[in-house]
Amino acid sequence: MTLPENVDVAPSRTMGAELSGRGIVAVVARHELRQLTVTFRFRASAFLIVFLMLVAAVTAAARFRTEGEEQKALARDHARELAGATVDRAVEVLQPAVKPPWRLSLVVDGGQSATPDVYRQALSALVTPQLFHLHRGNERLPASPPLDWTLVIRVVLSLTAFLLGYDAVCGERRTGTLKLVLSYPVARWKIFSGKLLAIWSCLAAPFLAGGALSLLAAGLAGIPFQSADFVKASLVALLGLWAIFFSTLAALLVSSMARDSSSSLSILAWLWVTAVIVVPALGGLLAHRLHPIPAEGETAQEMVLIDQRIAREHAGRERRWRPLEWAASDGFAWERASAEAETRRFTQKEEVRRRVVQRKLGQAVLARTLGSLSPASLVTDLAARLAGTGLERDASFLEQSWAFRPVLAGWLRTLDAGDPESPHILFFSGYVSRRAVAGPGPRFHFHEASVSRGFAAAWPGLALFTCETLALAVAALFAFSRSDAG
Amino acid sequence: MIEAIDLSKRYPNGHLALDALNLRVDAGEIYCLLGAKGAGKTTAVNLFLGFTAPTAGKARIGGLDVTEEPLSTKEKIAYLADTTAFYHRLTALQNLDFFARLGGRRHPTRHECEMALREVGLPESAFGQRVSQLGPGGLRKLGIAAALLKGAPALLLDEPLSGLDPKSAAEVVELLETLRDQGKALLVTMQELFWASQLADRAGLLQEGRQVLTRSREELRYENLERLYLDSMRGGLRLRDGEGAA
Repeated sequence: MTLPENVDVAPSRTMGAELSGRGIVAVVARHELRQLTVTFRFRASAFLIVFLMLVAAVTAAARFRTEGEEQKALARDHARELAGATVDRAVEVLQPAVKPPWRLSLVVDGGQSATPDVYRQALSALVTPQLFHLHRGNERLPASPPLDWTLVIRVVLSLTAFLLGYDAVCGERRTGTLKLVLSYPVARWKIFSGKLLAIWSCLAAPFLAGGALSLLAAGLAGIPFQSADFVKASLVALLGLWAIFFSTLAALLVSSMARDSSSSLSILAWLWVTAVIVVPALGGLLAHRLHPIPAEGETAQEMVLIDQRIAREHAGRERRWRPLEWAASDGFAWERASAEAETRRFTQKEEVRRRVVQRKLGQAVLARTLGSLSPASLVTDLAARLAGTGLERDASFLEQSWAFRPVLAGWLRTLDAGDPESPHILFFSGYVSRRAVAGPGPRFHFHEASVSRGFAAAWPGLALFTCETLALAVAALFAFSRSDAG
Repeated sequence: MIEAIDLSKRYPNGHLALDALNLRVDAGEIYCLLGAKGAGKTTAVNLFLGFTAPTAGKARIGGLDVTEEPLSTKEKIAYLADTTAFYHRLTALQNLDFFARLGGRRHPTRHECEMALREVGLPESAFGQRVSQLGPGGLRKLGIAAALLKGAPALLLDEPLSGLDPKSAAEVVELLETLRDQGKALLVTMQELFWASQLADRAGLLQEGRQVLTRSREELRYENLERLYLDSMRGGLRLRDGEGAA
């Protein structure tokens, strides 16, 4: 038996063809990719990622359309109600402030499909404002979180990163290939980087493909994206790629430290359940205990106390409304006193209602902060902030809709001021102008958060996630460098 | 080329796995390191590959200390594992291509890989087969082909004949002899005494981490290696002066 004459058996260094560090990383990455891409777990994961993102697009587009139609119907009803109405009647008409359907619901819903999107208020202090979600659907159906990119990132990508990486090191240690690979003159960090790059690519490719396809599908299905939406979606996509990197690092860390593949898989499964299910649930539970919201009964009791206080302060003269001709005889003295009492009653009750809403928002913020101890929840929160949705969008809607009241008041006050026959007791039906309302009146326009505002809201979380990623990278690299070759 | 000077390894639990191993393998020489399981052979291999640090003594490859210059020494040595340490989902050619690139070849050609496989005696039908379909003999040949493509002057072979049928073992032994004739230094750990007596230019016997004897090819002609081995197992080995000292 002879050895090949034309096979150069001289040491590689003398061949002058030694690969650079990046070259070795690429060689290891390509080799790992070649192995991973033929496995069932990769193919199933890639299919699942793309499929779920397409389903997210379809469901988000359907929801967008339904919500849009219902909001249009509400606007039509309101316009019909106001058409030909007098100022006197208009003070009692509920004027809607509507939060438009969230265009990026397929990217990160941020609770928009469940939180209130309509705030209706009349200028009369006798009409109670309404805050509700227009598209209620069937509350008897089991509630499930809306399917969006962040659900794919938080649940599917983290799980598949663990599935692809759990035996990347300990599996090779078992088969002996790790020892063979490490017998070559290659620094361990290059082998580690190659493995990291390969697993990351296996998930990044279907995620990006699914993202592009879902945006295209949603656009074709009728969601009118704006240019800022694509910037926001790109930021969430970058965050997703970062989250894949993080999950892959965690998988390689555990795989480097575990004795065997089954131990590695068990530890990763435990970590996944803790990060994705347990910590967010505990966050909600703790927030419920630490920052309780008043019960319905407590609020009702507070309203009764307000009524009693107003009655006491006005000595039972707060609800005296007489026909105009009688009231005019003493210059509407009783009516003005009653109007003042009702306005005070309304203001105090509205303060209670707003405090309850603020309290709910505060509880949700605390739950989110506690949940952010888990990187999975932190990523979801960051995505919502970068895209300008979530609790910030809800709070912004409430602020904007509350600020709409003075605009409405100014409009009707102007109409009433031009009528010399009006007693100008604003805003009580029967005691203001009876002229017809001219024009449709002011309309509520919701202002979405800009990209720069999203960054401003997200930077503390981004800094925290950067620190977590760096710490995990150092730990994983250290564990691989010190791991037993087999 | 391969040298151990009072090489010792004591694990944190206190177990002394290797006790003052001394050996030297020159170019064009085969050194067979014999011993039962747990004798310290794999520890010696790990020390030469730099996977674990010695607690005393030195391991040298090509004059360089393994602990001080781990990457430079790995350039000078090729390792063949005892297990079927290849990627089972890939073909023989794909495995060879990867290890050739890992060894520093920027663009190993398919022709080069095929030549290496052909010359170690792997049938052409096996080139494109998944490695999981190769038998133990084919895997050892693939390992030798990978070592060839690495182009290292020294080879470290851990139990290369274990689990092989006689025909395959004879083919592997023939390959190792050819490598020796080409000037390579080969350190081979094994338990197959028959093949060791055929192959070794020098042989050393490890027992519970201690090197209890060394014999040259000349000496092996006149001594029965199997008898020496069995005597050492029974603890009745008559040592020559200076041998077996801790």
